[in-house]
Amino acid sequence: MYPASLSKLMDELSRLPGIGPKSAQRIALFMVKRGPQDAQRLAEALLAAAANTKRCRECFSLSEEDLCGVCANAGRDHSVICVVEEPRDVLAFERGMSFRGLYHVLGGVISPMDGIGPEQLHLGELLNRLRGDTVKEVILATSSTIEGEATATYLAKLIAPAGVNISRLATGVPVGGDLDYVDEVTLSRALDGRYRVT
Amino acid sequence: MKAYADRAVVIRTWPLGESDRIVNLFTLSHGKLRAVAKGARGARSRISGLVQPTSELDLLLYQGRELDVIQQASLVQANMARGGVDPAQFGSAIEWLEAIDGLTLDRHPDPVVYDLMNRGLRMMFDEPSPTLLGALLIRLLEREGYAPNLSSCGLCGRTNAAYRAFDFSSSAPRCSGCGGEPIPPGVLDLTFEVLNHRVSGVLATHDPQIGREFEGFATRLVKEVVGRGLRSSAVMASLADNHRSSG
Ligand SMILES: [Zn+2]
Ligand SMILES: [Zn+2]
Repeated sequence: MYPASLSKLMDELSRLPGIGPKSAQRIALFMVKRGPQDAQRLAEALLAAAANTKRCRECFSLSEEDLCGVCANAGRDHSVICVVEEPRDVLAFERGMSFRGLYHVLGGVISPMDGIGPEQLHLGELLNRLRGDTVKEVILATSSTIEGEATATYLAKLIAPAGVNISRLATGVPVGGDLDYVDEVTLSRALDGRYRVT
Repeated sequence: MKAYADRAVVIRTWPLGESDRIVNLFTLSHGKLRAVAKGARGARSRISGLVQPTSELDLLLYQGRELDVIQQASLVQANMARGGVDPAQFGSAIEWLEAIDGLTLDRHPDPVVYDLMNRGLRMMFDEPSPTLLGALLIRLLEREGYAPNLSSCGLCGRTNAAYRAFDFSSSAPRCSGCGGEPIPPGVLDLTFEVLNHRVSGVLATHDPQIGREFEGFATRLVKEVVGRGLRSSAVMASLADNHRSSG
């Protein structure tokens, strides 16, 4: 058996997503071997991140301030809101660097078997953001799973009375992919979402 | 390792590790089972678009040590797994699948349940009726041996009474003065019709209020058997409400 403090560390580590008992043991032994200075740095980073990260009060993305960097940036296009499921989706769009509008993080999708309905998502806050006439377009960028689709359809109906343009992120053939490798559902949706070239 | 082919409907999925999914399947020849869809969360996966709740697939699986692994999948019927899903239809379909999951045993193939499941999913899309889910649940309960006995009062044995109450723990109606929980008038008639295989008349009911009451009664019967309520039921109710109020 390992010493008590080492066992405790492994126990804590193994609760992290994607880390099983084997990985927890490897990481714990590595940290112990590296000594207290490295451990101190890691502990401080952990504490600081957990203490300082909160949700942006406008878009519910992650932020250290009341307003996140995107919402606070006057250079962004405040007339377009891209609605996503989770903060990690914001990061995915930001990595792409082609979207200049704002975001709204729902905090999930409608998932009946998990007991998650519209009430559990940040929908009222989204409707509040559509009051006034700043916002002209809402892009529904929930994932292309059945839950994401149902959530998008639900949102489209909910938002319609606000009178803004509503668009849905296109789904289809991955860039660089061979057509015969694409599944039937994806291909038929790519066909539904085709656009005119001439 | 042994490979086998089967046809299946996806009941639900959970993320597994970085890019895989665990898939709860109701298969035609092997009953309900869980399998792994490797890489199914990757954008370029051949099966990510297929492995979605409600879709019917032809599968090639191989036996793993704990879970079987999906090797190939091709689409038979997308059902709700397509664009522009109606939230209320989606909610009913998921509630239907959750009931099937709760009322059936692992690895007990039943072609009748398979067919009922599939016809139900298709009808939800093609010919929705407010009484459809209620009727499906009653048929499923009957198939699994949990049909309520409507012939007489469960306490005094009186027959042909106008029952206005029901005892859910013994799944039998009660006449006035014999206790039980009050139930909306009409739900027992609908249940009786379904149990006597006169479903088309039941589905011709277009009153959404009667549909909700019948569905509520049927999901309550399911809850009694499963031992807990269906999680989809509450979500389903709010989806249907919002659907109605927004037209
Ligand atoms: Zn923000
Ligand atoms: Zn009685």
